[in-house]
Parts: sequence; C-alpha cells; structure tokens
Amino acid sequence: MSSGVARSGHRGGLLGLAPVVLIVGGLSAAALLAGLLASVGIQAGRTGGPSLDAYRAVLGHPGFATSYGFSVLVASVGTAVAVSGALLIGFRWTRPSGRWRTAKLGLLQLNLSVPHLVWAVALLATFSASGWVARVVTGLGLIDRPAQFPALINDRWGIGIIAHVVSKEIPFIVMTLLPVSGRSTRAQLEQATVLGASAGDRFLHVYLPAVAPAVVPAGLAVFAFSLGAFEPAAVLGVENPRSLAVVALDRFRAPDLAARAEAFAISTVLLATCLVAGALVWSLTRRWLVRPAGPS
Amino acid sequence: MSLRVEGVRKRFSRQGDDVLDGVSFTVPSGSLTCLLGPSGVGKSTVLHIIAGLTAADAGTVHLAGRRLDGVAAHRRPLTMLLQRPHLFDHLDVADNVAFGLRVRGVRRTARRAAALEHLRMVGVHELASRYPRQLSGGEAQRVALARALAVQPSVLLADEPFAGVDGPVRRELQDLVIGLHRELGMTMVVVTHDMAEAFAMGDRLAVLDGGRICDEGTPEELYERPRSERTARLLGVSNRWSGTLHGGRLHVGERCLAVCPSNALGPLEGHRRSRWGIRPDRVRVGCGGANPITGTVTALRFVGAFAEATIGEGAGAVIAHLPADGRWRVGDPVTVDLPIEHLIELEDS
Amino acid sequence: MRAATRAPVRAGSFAVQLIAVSVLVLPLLVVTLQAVSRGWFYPDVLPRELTFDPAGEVLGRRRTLAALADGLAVGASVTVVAFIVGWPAARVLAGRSLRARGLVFGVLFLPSLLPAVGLAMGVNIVLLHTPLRSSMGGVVVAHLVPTLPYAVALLTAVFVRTDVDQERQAAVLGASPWQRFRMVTLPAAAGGLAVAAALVFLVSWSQYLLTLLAGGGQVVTITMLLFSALSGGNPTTIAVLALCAALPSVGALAVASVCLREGGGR
Repeated sequence: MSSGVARSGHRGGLLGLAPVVLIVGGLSAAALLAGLLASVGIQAGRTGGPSLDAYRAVLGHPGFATSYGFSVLVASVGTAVAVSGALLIGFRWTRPSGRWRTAKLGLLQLNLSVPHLVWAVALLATFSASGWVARVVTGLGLIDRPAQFPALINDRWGIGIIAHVVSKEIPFIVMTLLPVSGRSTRAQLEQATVLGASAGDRFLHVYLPAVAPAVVPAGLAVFAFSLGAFEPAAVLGVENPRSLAVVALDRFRAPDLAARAEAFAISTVLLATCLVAGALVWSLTRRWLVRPAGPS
Repeated sequence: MSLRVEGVRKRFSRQGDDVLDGVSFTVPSGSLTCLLGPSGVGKSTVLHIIAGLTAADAGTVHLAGRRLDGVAAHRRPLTMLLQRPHLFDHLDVADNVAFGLRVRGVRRTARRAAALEHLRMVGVHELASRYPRQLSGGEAQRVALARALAVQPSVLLADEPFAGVDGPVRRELQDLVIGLHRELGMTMVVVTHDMAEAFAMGDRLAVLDGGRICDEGTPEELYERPRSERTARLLGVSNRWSGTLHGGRLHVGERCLAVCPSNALGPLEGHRRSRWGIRPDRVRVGCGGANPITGTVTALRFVGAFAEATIGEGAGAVIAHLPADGRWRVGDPVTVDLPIEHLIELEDS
Repeated sequence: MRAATRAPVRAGSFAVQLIAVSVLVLPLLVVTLQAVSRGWFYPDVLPRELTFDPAGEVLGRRRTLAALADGLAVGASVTVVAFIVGWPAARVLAGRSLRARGLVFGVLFLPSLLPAVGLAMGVNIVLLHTPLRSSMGGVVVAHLVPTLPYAVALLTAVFVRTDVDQERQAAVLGASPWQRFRMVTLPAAAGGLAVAAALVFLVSWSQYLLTLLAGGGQVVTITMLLFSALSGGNPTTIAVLALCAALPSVGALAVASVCLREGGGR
C-alpha cells in the first residue's frame, strides 16, 4: 500500500505465520495422532495390527465407571462454579473502580502466577485435616483431633480438587473477561440502565452476550484443564475414586507397552469427552458467538 | 524550491473509483499553498505521495526539477506534519525536536542547541524538558512544528495541522505558521478543508475535488472568479443556475439576465447552454442595476453580521445577504439586483 | 427503609469478599510460614520456632540448585525462541483484520482446549523418535505448544498498539527503516515486550507434566523435586521447594505488571 513504512506486505504474510502454526499445530497434531495410534496398539517396539484391546481393558475395568464419573463431575462442577464466579466478578467490575480494585486485581494475578502444584500444596497445608484451619478450629475447642475435621481435602467427592480448580481458574477467567468488559460494554450497560433494565436484565441480556466470545473458550479451557489435570488430582485427590488423569499417567509410566496403550485409550476417552462438551457448549451459545459479518 | 505534482493517480480498492484521477499542480518556490477540498477527496493522500509515504499508481513529483519518485521517504529533502502531532512519547520535548537531527548524525550538544532554538522560534522553549503527555493540544502542535522546522526542509507539508485544536489557539497557530513562513521563506503546502483557514493562510490555493485539481490561483482570484462548479460550491457561490446564452443575454427560466463578456468562458454570440453563478454577498438590495429581481422572502436565516435570505422558490430562487437590521420578515416582498460584474460563468462538471 | 434493607446486603457482600481474599492469601501465607519454621505440627496454630536454617539447607543442596538452573534455562530458551518465531507472525497478524487474527489465534490456542495429560504423553512418544528425546531441547520445543500462542497474541497486541503514523512521522523526518525501528518502534513497544517475555517465561516455568514427560527424566525442575518430596518429605522442605517453585513466576508477574503500569498509560 505504501512504500517502506507500511505494515508487512501481503506476500510475506503467510511465510511469517508458517513457523508458528507448524510448531504449535504440527506438534500437537502429531502428539494427538501418536496417542491415537498408540491407543489402538500401534507403537514403536510393538508388532501386530491395530486392536481395540486397550479400550476393552480400560472400559472393562471395574473401577473405570467410578473414575470417569468422578473426573467428569469434578471438572463440570469446578468449571461451572469458576465460570459463574468469574462472571459475577467481571459484571461487578464493570462498575466504576472502587478503592481496592487494583489490590484485588493484583491478588488475582498473584494467584494466576503460582504454579498449579504449588497451589495444591498450599491448599493441602491450609485445609487438610491437620492443616492450619483445622488447627485454628482445634484451638477454638470445636474439635479434638484431625479426624473430626470435615474432609475438605483428599475427600471422596473431590471437594479439594474442585476448590483448587475454582480458586485457580476464577482469576484466569476474570483476566480474559476484563479486556471485553471495557468501555463499550460499560456504555451498553449504562444505556440499558437508562432504558429501565434491572441488574439481572443487564447481566443476562447485555453483559453475558458481550463477554460470551471470551468466556466460552475460557470455560472450555478450564473444563479441559480440570479433566486432564494431574497435579491437583494427585495432591488433593484420594485413592478411590482415582481421577482418570492420575490413572492415565500411572499406566503410562508402567514398564509394559500394553499398559501404555491403555494410558492412551484413557486419554482418548478424555479427549472425546472434551470434544462432546465443546460441541454441546457451542450449540448452546452459538447465537452469541457467531455474529453476522458486518462491512469490514 | 518549487514543487510540481504531475498526473498523479491513486486507486485504493480494486473495485473503488480512482481517488486521485490525474492530480497536477505547482507550488511556486517560497509560496504557502493551501490544498483545499471537502473531506474525503484524497488531500492527505496527495501529501503522503509527495512525502513518499504512499506510492502513486501513476504520475510524478518533481522538486526543483529533480524527480522524487523512487526516493525513499526518509531520503527526500522535505518533511511533513501529520494530522496529529505524533510526538514520540519516550522522548522529552527537546529530544523530540532534535529527532530529525539525531537520525542525520548531528552530535548531541549541537542538536539540543538547535532544538532549543527552534522551540524558541515557535514560542515554547520553556517546555524543553517536558514529556509529550504533559502537553496541551496546542503545545504539542507547536512542538511538532519545531521538530519539522529543525530538519530545515526545503518544503514543509502539513496535513490539516490544526484539526485537533479550536478557537483562539487555532488562530494563534495559524498566525505562527504565517509568521514563520514569512520569516523563513520556506515553501509550504498546507492541507485544509476549511475555506476560511485557506484564505487566511495561503498565498495560493489549489482546490482538489472529484479526483482532480479543479482550480488554482491566489485566494482573491478564486474568491472573485472560481472557474469550476466544484470550486464555486466549495467557496460559497450558492447561487448557481443553468440557462441558455442567446443574443448576448442569459435566459434562466422566465428570467433574462444581462452578463458581462469578460466573465464568460466562451463567446457570448450564438446560442449555447451555460451555467452561471453569483455569490450571495454580491447580490445587491434595491433596484437600479441591470438585473433587478423582485420576489418574496421565503426563508430567512440570521447569521450575525447579515441575514441570509432566500428570495423566490424552486430552481430560480436567489440567495442574498440582507442587512441584519430586523427590517426583513418571511413573506416580505423584496427587490434585489445581480450586478453584471459579479455574475460569472462556471465550467460545468 | 431502603438503607435498612441495603445494610445486610452490603455486609454479606463484604463477608464474601473477605472469604475470597482469605482463600487466595491464606494458603500462600501458611506455606511461607512453614518454610521458615521447624517442627510445626498439629495442633500448633503458630510455629514454635522460626528459622531460616532448613530453608538454607534445602537451597544449599546441589539438586535444588541444578533444578533451579534447569528451569531457568528452559524458561529463558523458550522465551527467546518464542520471540524469534512469534515476532514475524505477530507482525503479520497486526496488519490483518480482526477476523483473520481471531482465526489464527483460534488455531494456536486449540491445543490449550485439550486435556493436558494426553498432550504431554503424546509429545513424549513423538519426541522419542527425534534426537530431542530426553533432552532440554525437547522440553523447550514441547513448551512452545503452550507458550507460543501467548507470545504471538501479546506481541500482536504490542504491534497493533504501535502507531504506524509515528513511524511515518519519523520517516519524513529522515529516519531510515532501521533507525525507525531502533528509535521509535522499539522504545514505544519496550513495555509490552517486557510483559510478553515475562508471561511467556511464567507459562514455561509453571509446566509440570509437559516438562516431566518431554524431558524423560533428564530435565529435573523444582516442581519435580517438590512432587517427589510430597510423598513422605518433611513439611518444611516441601514448603521451601514450593516457594522456590513459586517465586520466579511471581517475580516475572511483578516485572510484567510494573512494565504494564509504565507503558500502558496511553
């Protein structure tokens, strides 16, 4: 368009993008494909054609249904709570900034930067049966020994893992929401207010549609993360039911190749679950995500 | 140094019409030429092409006889003020002004001194150690001007340089540029869509509309005698009629007007279609001229120093400036005269 | 009347905020306190003895130092590579329409929408067939999958914000393309670039599974030491390792927010 000082020309365009797409897309596609092949028994060092033995072994295992249900339940509840919480915070924060906004934002960012394993360890130290909160409760004379403390961590229902997902992912979703909760959304909300919309109306009919393009992908990322996350499940989970991610890694690290195939079969089941969840969410929220193309 | 733009064409989108369809004009050495035109006709594009920021599809730019096309923007011996001041946020005011000298390898002490001198020239040397974010719009514009002058360009291009400022500050900046132009004798091209600004600043005007330069001349010439219909409309010739020249007189509808041969674009003899106009401020109240017209006031707009009256209705209506003495009401009968020395023929576009 | 109904609402909202803040802050405080204590067990609410000795002992171990060094080396290499590869892509995307940009970002962030455990295991067996298996290079390449999208997105934001007209203004003042880059584009973008670098480092540093499986045991980072200490380790050691694992990313975040505050005021 202009000589020398314009942004990069049209022809150089795709060339600049290629390495990035090749590395990210290529490596993850290769990883997925290798996993898929391995799950049907095609791996280096293993002869024989494809078979569904690994899937048979995994799905036929008596503990599978429980583990699967547990993983999906934890991921669904965790994602639902995290998304709702983040949306409420985001909606609240469309109002003029209060005195503590910067501090609260800093706190969320701090939490976001703490690695998952560290956060799981910190939750363990604080909320476990012999953790700091239990000690305070003991000090107050409400309980006498750790066993009396309600099982918040390493519990049968995955409360600890859900707490991890919620506390770690609310900051993540809020951060992705903030850029789209900016000036134009605020102006739309004000417009809605003067047209007589209540807070509930504004949340449902103005705020949600405005942030949907950001919050839906973020929510899917949180669901996928909590479904396949190893660290929180390993630190905050229990032996029975075991989270599928932990089972998968356990099988993967077993020395024999059949076990490895089972690990990939589990991973494929998790992947399929994510795809189904994604399709479900897409069909429910499509009207907010797909905007008619305007003049560009 | 004189600047010559010749046959410049530029089309932006493949489907779109030519934005610039053969633009040619000359900026005499030492002149302050205003490039005037309505919004969106490509005035900025013309400057960008002269500066080398945009490549023309066809046409040439010559500076003092030297062809500039193909010379990279930063190697051209001219500079430009873009629409906003575009000061570099990370540099203080003095370093901003010294920027052009820095890229030319001038040493730090020398360029700081030159920067201060140019800041003094535009009257803001006390701002030298401030940062751009601490400046008002007018101050930033002055600094941008000093920065452009500091590179001692042979031509200074300015793209609506005062678009961001209003009122008295705008007036001050205009006076500053006029003064500097007189003092430095620098060749300048100033783009504007504001007729008053063009008249106040320019010693020459070039009117850009419809993809071409439709008129060129001094402000006085163009005010009195615009040639093209577009220029006439832009410069406020709001009475424009199509008619027939026949027997040395102009027939517009029922009306028969006397015209002056020196204001015609062709011979008065014979029979031809023709378009004529007159400024509303040249329409005289009262009879006693060659072209008396009587009608009723159908609309009246109080403007301040005068009232703009529409006399009659439809295509034959005359717009006249009447004295704003409260004498006139809508519905009043009035007689005006169209003096033949101010009735001019226009090129039909 | 109105004030009377509002007061409990406000108190409730305050309580919710208080709980939220303590859930976010308390665990980190407990771990920090644990790291500078000795023999702090149930039912003591506060440690009996505060000491830096165990922390010093853990930090003095060669294993700890090696793990810190490995993590830093991986993080730094990933940042450099992500910048080199991501820069031209971001430059291209900045000039494209919002729609085209969204499409490319969609593709790049797609792997983040997949379960991490499957991706990490898959990367492990893919790398097995390359010379990068069980090496730091393999870890760096694997880390590009989660970090490159962020690098490209952040750099694109930087380039979108940079004002082409400033570069043009510099050009008509006589600055050559290289001078424009060095004197105008780079200083204007410095804050954004620092933020991008800090965040890319942070994402790389925080990886656990991907590092574990791509490194094949040859690359041992602090989170791995932490994980093995968890089974039967001393609480103080665990806390010290946890802080070691958290501090660099918290530091990177601090750098990012300072740069954001200085560079983001326009």
